[in-house]
Amino acid sequence: MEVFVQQLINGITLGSIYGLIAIGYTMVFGIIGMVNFAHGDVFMVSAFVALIALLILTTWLGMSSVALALLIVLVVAMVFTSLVNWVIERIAYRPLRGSFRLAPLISAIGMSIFLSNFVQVTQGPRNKPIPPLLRDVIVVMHGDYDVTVSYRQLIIWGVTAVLLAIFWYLVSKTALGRAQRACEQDQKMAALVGIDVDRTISITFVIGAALAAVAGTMYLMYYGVVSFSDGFVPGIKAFTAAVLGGIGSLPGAVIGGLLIGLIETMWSAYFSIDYKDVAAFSILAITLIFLPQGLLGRPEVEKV
Amino acid sequence: MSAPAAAPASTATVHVNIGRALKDTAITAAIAFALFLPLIGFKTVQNMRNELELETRLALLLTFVAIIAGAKLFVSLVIAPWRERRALNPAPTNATLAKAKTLLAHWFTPFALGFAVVYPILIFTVTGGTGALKWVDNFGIQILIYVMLGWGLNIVVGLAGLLDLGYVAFYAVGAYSYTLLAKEFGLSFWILLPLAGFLSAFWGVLLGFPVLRLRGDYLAIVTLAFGEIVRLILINWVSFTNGYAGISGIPRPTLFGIPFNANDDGFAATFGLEFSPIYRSMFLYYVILALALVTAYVTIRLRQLPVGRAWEALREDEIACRSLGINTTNTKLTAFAMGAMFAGFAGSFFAARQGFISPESFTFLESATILSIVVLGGMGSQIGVAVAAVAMIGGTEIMRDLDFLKYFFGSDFDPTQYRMLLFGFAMVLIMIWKPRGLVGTREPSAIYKERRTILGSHVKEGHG
Amino acid sequence: MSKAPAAPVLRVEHLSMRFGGLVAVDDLSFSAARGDITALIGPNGAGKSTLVACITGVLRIDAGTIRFQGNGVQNLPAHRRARIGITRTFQKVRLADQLTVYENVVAGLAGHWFANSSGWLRVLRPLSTREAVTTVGQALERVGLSDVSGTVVKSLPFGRRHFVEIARAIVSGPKLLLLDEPATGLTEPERERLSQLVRDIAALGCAIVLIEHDLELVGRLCDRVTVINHGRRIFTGTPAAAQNDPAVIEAYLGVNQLIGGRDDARD
Repeated sequence: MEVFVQQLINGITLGSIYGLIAIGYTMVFGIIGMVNFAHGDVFMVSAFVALIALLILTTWLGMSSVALALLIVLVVAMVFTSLVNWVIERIAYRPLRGSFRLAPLISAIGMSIFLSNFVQVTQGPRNKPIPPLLRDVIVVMHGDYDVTVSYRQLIIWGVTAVLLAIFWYLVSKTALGRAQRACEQDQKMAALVGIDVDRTISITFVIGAALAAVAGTMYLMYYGVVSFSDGFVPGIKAFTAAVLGGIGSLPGAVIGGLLIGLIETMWSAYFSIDYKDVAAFSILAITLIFLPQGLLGRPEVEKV
Repeated sequence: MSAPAAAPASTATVHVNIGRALKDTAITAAIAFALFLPLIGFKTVQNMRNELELETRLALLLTFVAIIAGAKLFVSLVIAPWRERRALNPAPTNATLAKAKTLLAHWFTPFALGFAVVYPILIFTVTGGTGALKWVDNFGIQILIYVMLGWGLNIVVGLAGLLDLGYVAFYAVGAYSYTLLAKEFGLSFWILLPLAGFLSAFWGVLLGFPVLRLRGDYLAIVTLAFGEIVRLILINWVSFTNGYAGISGIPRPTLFGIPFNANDDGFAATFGLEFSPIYRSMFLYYVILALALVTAYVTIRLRQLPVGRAWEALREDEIACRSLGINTTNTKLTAFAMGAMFAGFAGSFFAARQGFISPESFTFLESATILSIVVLGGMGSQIGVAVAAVAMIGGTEIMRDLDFLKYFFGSDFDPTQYRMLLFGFAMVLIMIWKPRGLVGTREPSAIYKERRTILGSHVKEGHG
Repeated sequence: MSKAPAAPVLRVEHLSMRFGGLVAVDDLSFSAARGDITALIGPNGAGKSTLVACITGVLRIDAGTIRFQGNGVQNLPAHRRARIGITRTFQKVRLADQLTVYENVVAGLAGHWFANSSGWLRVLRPLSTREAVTTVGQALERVGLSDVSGTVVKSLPFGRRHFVEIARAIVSGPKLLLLDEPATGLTEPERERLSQLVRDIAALGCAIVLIEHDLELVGRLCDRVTVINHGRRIFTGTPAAAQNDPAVIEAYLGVNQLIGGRDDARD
């Protein structure tokens, strides 16, 4: 029982991170029908930006308030990562819009390889550890084994919840959200009613990157280490989350993320930690084969 | 810059707006500065206590920004006006150029084939002895493996239109099949080569079954997942595959039982030559060349057969395909099986050549590389795929050798680091430049050419 | 010339097809005989294309039977139905744009080769045999495309692509041909050619089901017309009678003009 509750807590934490990344996949797929393969690497870049911002604040400026430092780091990471994704969309995807269907995917794969190697070349291939932040824990359940929630986990839950709320407001209540939904339905029609399609797509990439940056900062804080190759596997898992929740569906991405996080931690705890990635990839394959519309997505009707 | 003197009086002139170009450049420079500030402007290094510290690289950052701003300025002052001018007065079609193009198209294949055949001998005579080893091994064999893999994947992606991002799984199945069977049962390379191909084809069908209903991006992602699952199993099933550590001491192929070693019964001793590893490399070169050519030949033949027609019909439109009486299930499975079989051949050759394999050789990056070769080559074009393999693999191999760059960038400059960086960047650039691949136009199908000659003979018979 | 209105080639009985809650085809029955041109008309969204998809096997039906030459085929997969002689064209032309006209049409034979009894040995013979060339050549000549057989489909004018599709559908010598709005976007001379071509194909002994919007063309070509609306049959009879039938008029009214019907408002 204790193990289960502890894994539940860990799983929700991990799932929050996956969910934040998954939104980027699901939004881009919804609006331009493309699997943004480089999104996982954008997440990794954001973790590096957060790392560098944190080092500037703590070692150079000697900031002592961890909470304030984290807040600044979060904002810096969000801004820079948004810029990165905005530029990527402009140079690598926009020229390919309306091109043949594999071109954007190949371009995204190239961008993914480029980003991870760019970070490897500029920052070196080694793992980058930071001193552990906020080591305190709260014991929530006593037993043969104490179940704990760390401050880090609480921060991750809180930040995720707040940002999801802001994001939810943005896409459901504002003109931007309406423009996005219009572009999802029919880009030509959206343009005819006066929506700037290019700008809406750009903003979609920017929002996706900002949420990935939140995930990147949380990832760095949670694990205390990041390396250039950390984009691929979390990226695939977040994509799995998006697919499981129903690609194109925003609540689906969050729910999918939580599920994948839970499955991963439970699998590691009860079965085999070696095969936890196999489990994630199997879920991806099984979902796409048997439930391609996901949990909350709408089925695609084939035009005959 | 504006109003070129050489242009005829009647042509419209293109006005270059210098102020605007400068403004654009300034914006680009600002964005580039912000973009590169964290990752190039700062470097994280570990100090003696294993703590991270920051170093600044202001000069490098400014160099990058300057390069990008300069490029932008060049584009808006020189290239953009030139393009506009060309759009206004299209250059007259050059007859000699067109003729040269047709000549090139006609002679390129025989020439390339001939060159591939004489290449090791040529290298051997030019550089002599061990100097040739690198050129035959790193360039010749390495490139040909990718040419073969490209041609194999071309069946799945280029002909049948099934986007496969997990092709490396079948390459791995071939390599591990050969390795484990050779080590366990001591069977020879020549017996295991077809067996490995067969096993890979079997796996192709096995993994093909569940994905029959999927198309496009979804198919790509599921095949990627399968590829990763195969690799993770190879890593984690230690008792079977020895995990990360890999398997070494894989038996090498022999020439009708004559091994390529320094012993008395070895190749060199048998033929009265001085022992040199170059003989084995040349032998392997011709083996992979033959395998690759078999792949190409089989593909070309298949394209003229009903099954090849069915693949191409499937690629174009699955529903129309079913209405034409084509069984899409069988068609997809044969494509997966065929593609996987050639990957199996290539895999067992790879294991036999390296003498060592580990899961590291079968990462997603390999699948992405092979797929990019197929796509850059122009999806379905045999020559295009070969050219793309030479360019991409040869190009990245050359990066290993650019020691002279150390004179420019200092002695700690390691060009191999930049291989994959440039590889990824090249993928993006080529997609933007030529989304349909390097050889974009599809070569006229053999069917039509043959048809014309047949019709011609028909007419002759009729009238003569 | 067969024995009078004998057993029809195609007989659809009580066919129903649902997409979730939407009933696309509802208890529909009609038949098509050898050498006849049967029209199937109805306003947009009436279920015409769904019906074609049901007959060719792209969609599985929920209830009813589809008899082809006396045998129920409703459980056969699409490719098997094509092999026994049910072919079709598409409302929105579905050709391989990158391939030549010849290559597109020869694909119509590919399924045939697999179906052949000598089976797998035949599969290993190239499609460029004289036999294939002759068959495809005949089909192209029939539709009037002999001059462009080596042209890439993409570079053909739109109107001619319809004819490529028809050639691909008839190259295997089908018993039943379903034409899904073949006249859409054709010029007047092309429509005239199409009418002649459809009559020629019917004269060869093929049953033709013509799905059309244009009542004028239907009146010119067909003896019998079945009108459907909301997935139900509302009329069967001669085209002239259809134009005076109150139910038909009601179904069409407000959608477009009944006669002379180039409905430009559509698409």
